[in-house]
Order: sequence, then structure tokens, then C-alpha cells
Amino acid sequence: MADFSWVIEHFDQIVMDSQDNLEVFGVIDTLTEVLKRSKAETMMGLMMDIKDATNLLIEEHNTNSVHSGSQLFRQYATRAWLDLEQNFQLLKSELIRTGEQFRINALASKQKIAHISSRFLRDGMKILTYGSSVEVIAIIEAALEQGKRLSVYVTETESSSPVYKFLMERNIPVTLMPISAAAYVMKDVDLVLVGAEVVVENGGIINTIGTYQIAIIAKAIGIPFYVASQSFKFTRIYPLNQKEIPDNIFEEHTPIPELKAIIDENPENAKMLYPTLDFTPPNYITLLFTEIGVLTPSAVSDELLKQYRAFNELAIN
Amino acid sequence: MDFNKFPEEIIMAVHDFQVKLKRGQFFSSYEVTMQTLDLLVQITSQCEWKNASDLNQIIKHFGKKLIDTKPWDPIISNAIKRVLYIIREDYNISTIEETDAGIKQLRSSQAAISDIGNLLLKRHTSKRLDINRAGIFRLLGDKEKDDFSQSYTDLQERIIESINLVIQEVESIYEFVAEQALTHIHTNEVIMTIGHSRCVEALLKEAAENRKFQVIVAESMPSYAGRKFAGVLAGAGIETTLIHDSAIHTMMARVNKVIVGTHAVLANGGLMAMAGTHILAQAAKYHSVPVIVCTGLYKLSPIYPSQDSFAELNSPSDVLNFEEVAGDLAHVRVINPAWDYIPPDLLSLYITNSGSYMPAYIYRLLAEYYHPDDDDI
Repeated sequence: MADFSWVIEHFDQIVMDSQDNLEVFGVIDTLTEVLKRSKAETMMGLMMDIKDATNLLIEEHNTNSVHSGSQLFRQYATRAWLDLEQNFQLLKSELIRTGEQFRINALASKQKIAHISSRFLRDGMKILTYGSSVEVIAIIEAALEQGKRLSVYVTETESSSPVYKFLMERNIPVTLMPISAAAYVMKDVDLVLVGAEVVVENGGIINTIGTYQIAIIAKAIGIPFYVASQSFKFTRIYPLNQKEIPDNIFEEHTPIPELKAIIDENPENAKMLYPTLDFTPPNYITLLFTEIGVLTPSAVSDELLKQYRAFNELAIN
Repeated sequence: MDFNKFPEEIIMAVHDFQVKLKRGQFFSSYEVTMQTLDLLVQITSQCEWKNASDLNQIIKHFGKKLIDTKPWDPIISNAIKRVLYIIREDYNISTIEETDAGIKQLRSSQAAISDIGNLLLKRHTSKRLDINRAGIFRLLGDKEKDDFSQSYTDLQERIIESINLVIQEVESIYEFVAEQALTHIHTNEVIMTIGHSRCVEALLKEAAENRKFQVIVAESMPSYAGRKFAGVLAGAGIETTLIHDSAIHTMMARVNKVIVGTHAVLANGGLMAMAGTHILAQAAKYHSVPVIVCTGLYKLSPIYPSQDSFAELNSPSDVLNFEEVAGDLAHVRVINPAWDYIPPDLLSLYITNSGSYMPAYIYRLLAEYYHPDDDDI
């Protein structure tokens, strides 16, 4: 096996340097670097190198972004291999070029999402947002640049501090509320806009815990629920319920003092459930804003399948 | 690109069309679409252009003028975006064909691998940017502002032929819709409709040749289009009943199916249809009656509701005559909205010239007719 000792460090460096700290940049950049340094002379050799490097990355950072980023790269390599009629030199140079182009395209794609979806935000609208998503911030920013006046409801959670900071800095009327008041305010709101950690195959999303709740309330009251997400977050997983969320982290949580006192009297009895992610099924989502375009949840699987068609044709893995 | 150097004929033709649109001289989307497509064929064949990129700009230039006469109406921009998509597709086909021919030639003359390589790359890039392969892979690779600057001698002919195919397709929609009549309309059924849709008319007339059924028509205030339609159906020998719009919910209990036409189909599978259609759809849902939409696919629009509002208002004098406005009535505001938005979950099926579809499937058809980069004209 070739020398991959530099891989993890390289990955970490790229993620830290990148705007938005996106892991997917780390993956694509690292794999492109693997290609550049690779001494393989054949397609199989090259794919082995990529596979080995990917395994190292996954060992260290077992997240959905790393999985989907590396899948995307491998599938593109396969497709290019077919189109370029299995010419190794051409393939290598094409892959290096496209890998380097990825970061530029990904940053531009955020702007594209903002442009496409800012049309859905009309002047005077009230928006409810949850969690913190760079895409959501970009969309609101684009709407502001178009001169629209918006007011935003933000929930009081740790995850929402970047978006809250952004709104305060821009002097946008922002109302802070606990997530338990989501049903209370829902009728006053014009739309709900959230980001996503992962978009799953049936068009549903995995996002910060609490997203599903808000989606249910929005549907019950008849408020549109929009998700903004770049297309590299699309993954071929198919969770059918909350228990099937891969790698859901359950937090160690210290209860409030009133309850803690009671727990300390009887610690063996005290069970705690603090998941960090939940799954929102596609029927609660009105539309997804991606740089591929505005998609209905049913369209997500089509996009994923387009990506996978060539991969299955060659079945290199 | 010097927009003043266009043939006088073209500038006049576009201007005439604009005037007619503004004056409301077209009543149906069918007419508007056919006229727009004819005009675009004229522009393509008579204006001077070197490559697809030039043509693209020309079409956008004239297209924008037409769209601006009625910015809320998706039908005009549908036709224009359709032609822009045709330009992209045909350009891609030409590129792939030419690179294929080039590669074949180089191979037979045993040229250097590097020469063949360049053509291979070009074809690969072109395929990648090809409409059907776009999507997530666009993130890897050249920035997708396609460079349409290559000239091909056969491109003009190809494009004109493609537009003519679209014109033929639009001409034949009633025929293809009518073909599906017997699958959906059965003996002794009671069908309810609203307004006067030519598509629905074609469907019902075709079914009436073989089966006996009843139609209830809502008179569609204030245009009373339903009254006219009732007469047309009775004339074709169909057992027709006319009701006023407020009786829609009352009569719905006896109805087997609701069949309506529409002004435009939206990207999420919803409708932009005449005012009153939403009431019909809600009443149908309440009584669990399926709602079928009969339409041609040229009405499919790449826009979503709440992106553009449907706030077109018709003349209030249709509701309250100018002569009646005296005394206290003079202080009453009268609004006559033209369109309703019907969300896709109230609809059961679309019968179109290219087959029947579920509303959830409509987004797929968009990819066959439009390209997302053409969304802003």
C-alpha cells in the first residue's frame, strides 16, 4: 500500500481552512491530492489508492459527509473512465482538474441556491428558522440585498447562534423563542426555512433534533416547510424511522438543578434520552432548494439515481 | 450584439404580436403558444446568427419583450424557454456528432493519441454538461456556463425542425387527449366540470360517441363560460345539467369524477386555473371524488407557486356593472381575481397529450422541456 500517512492531516487542514468548515471539501481535495501523488499506472491501481485513502478517512471521521463526498468522487471517476474510453492519462488529468474545480463550484453553488430560492421570500414575510445552516444564511442575505424586509423567528438553542448573530448584525427584526413555542407562533409565520445535515434518498432530511417536530406543526397548520441544501449532501440511505438514523449521537446531558436533586436520590432509575439528530420524512417537506434547482422531495431520488447509473454499469468498488 | 441590425420584418412582427397581447386579442393559451412558436421560427430563420450563443441572445432579447407584456402569464415564457432548451439540446447533439466523426476519422488515419484525446475530452465534457447527465456531477468540473460558441452548419436547420415538431405536437393535443377518453369515462357516470376547456370538450365528445353519461357544468361566474360549454355539450348529444357555482358542494355528493382544464400547470404538479376551480377541488376532496386535469403539456411551466403571485385581476365590471354603481355601492370595492392556485394534493390525475400522469410525477417532465439555467429571462 502506498504511503497515506499525510491524508488525515491534510484533510483536517482543508476543513479548517475552508469557509463553512465543510468536510466535503476536505474529502474531495484530499482525494485529488491522492490522485496527484499516486504512482498507479492503471485504473484499478488508481481506484485502489482512492479506496485505501477513503478507508483511512472514514476510520478517523465516520460522518455522512465523508461517505457521500468520497462516493461522489468515485462515481465521477467511473463515469469519466467510460466516457474517455478507458484512456488512463486522460482520465488522470481530467480527474485532477475537476477535483480542483470542485471547491470553486461548491462555493458558487451556495450563491446559486440563494439566488434561486430568494424568490420565495417576499417583502414583509415572517420566517421561522431552526438550527444553523450556511445555505439559509445565504438565502436571507440574498433576499436582503434585493431590498426585501423580513422578520425572523429563531429558537433559543445552541445550534442557532450563528444565524442569530448574522441577523442581529444586519439589524433584522428577530424574535427569540423557545422551541416549545413553535406551535404557538406557527400561524403567524409565512414559511419555515431550515438546512439539512443529510438529504436521504426518499427526499426526507436528517437534521438537528427538533426539525421533525417543527415540520409536523407546519404541516398541521398549513405553513410551507422549505429545506435548503447543497447537492453533495444527498446520500443513498433510506431510513424508515427515527431509530434508523445512522450514527446518531446521544448526548450526555446534565438535567436542571430541580430535577437533578431528585435524580441524585435514585440514580439507577433515571434514564435519559438526548439524541442530536432526527429524521423528517418527505411528506412533511414542501420543497428543497438546491443548486440543481428547486426540487420536490420525489425528485431527490431521481437525481441520486442519475449519479449512480454509471457506477452500477461498471460495478467497480 | 447589435439589436438594431435585425430585419425590419422581424421587428414589426414582434411589435404587432406585443400589441395584440396587450389588447387581449388572444383568449386561449393554445393560440398564444402557436403564435409565439411561429414567431420564433421566423426569428431563427431570418435573423443573422453565427452560433448557438448568438441565437440564444437573440431569442432572449425578443422573448423578454413578449414576456413583459404579460409578466404574470407563464404561457408565453413556456414557449420561449422551450425553444431555448431546444437550442441547447441540438447544439449538444451537433457537438457529439461532430466529435464522434472526428474521432473516427483520426482513428482511421492513426493519428496521435493526444489529438484523439482532445476530441474525447470535448465529447466527455459535452456529455457531462448534457441535460440528462447534469445534476450532482455539475459540482465536479468546468463551471457550467456552457460555451455555445462553436458554429455548425446544420444547426439552424436542426433547430427549425425541432421547433416545427413542437408546433405539430401542440396542434395535435386534442387528438391525443381524446384517445384516452374511453379509459377514464364509463357508462352512467356523473362528471362535473367548470368553465369551458377545449381539452375537456374534446375528451367528453369522444367518449360520448361510445358511451352514455351525464355532465354537470358549473356556470362559472362572472364569465359564464360554463353556460356556453353546457350548450356545446348538449349539442353533442350529452345529457347536461347546468348549476350555479354555489351549488357545487351541494351536488358533489352525486358526482363520480371531476374533470377540469387549466391555464397552466406548475412545477410542483399544482394548477393555475380559472377562479372557482379551487372550490371545485376542495368540494371534491371532501366527498372523496377524484379530480382529473385535462391539458396539453405545453402548459407545463417551470415555476412554483409563491414565486410569482397570480394576482391578475379581471375587470370589476364583470361583477358589478358600471351603471349599477350608485349611491352606497359607490363605496364598495369590487375585486375579480382571474386565477386560483390548486395545490397538487387535491388532484388525482393529469390526462395529457403524452399520456396520464400522477401530479407527483410532473416535475420529471420539466427536465424534458426546460433547462434550469433558462429560468431568468
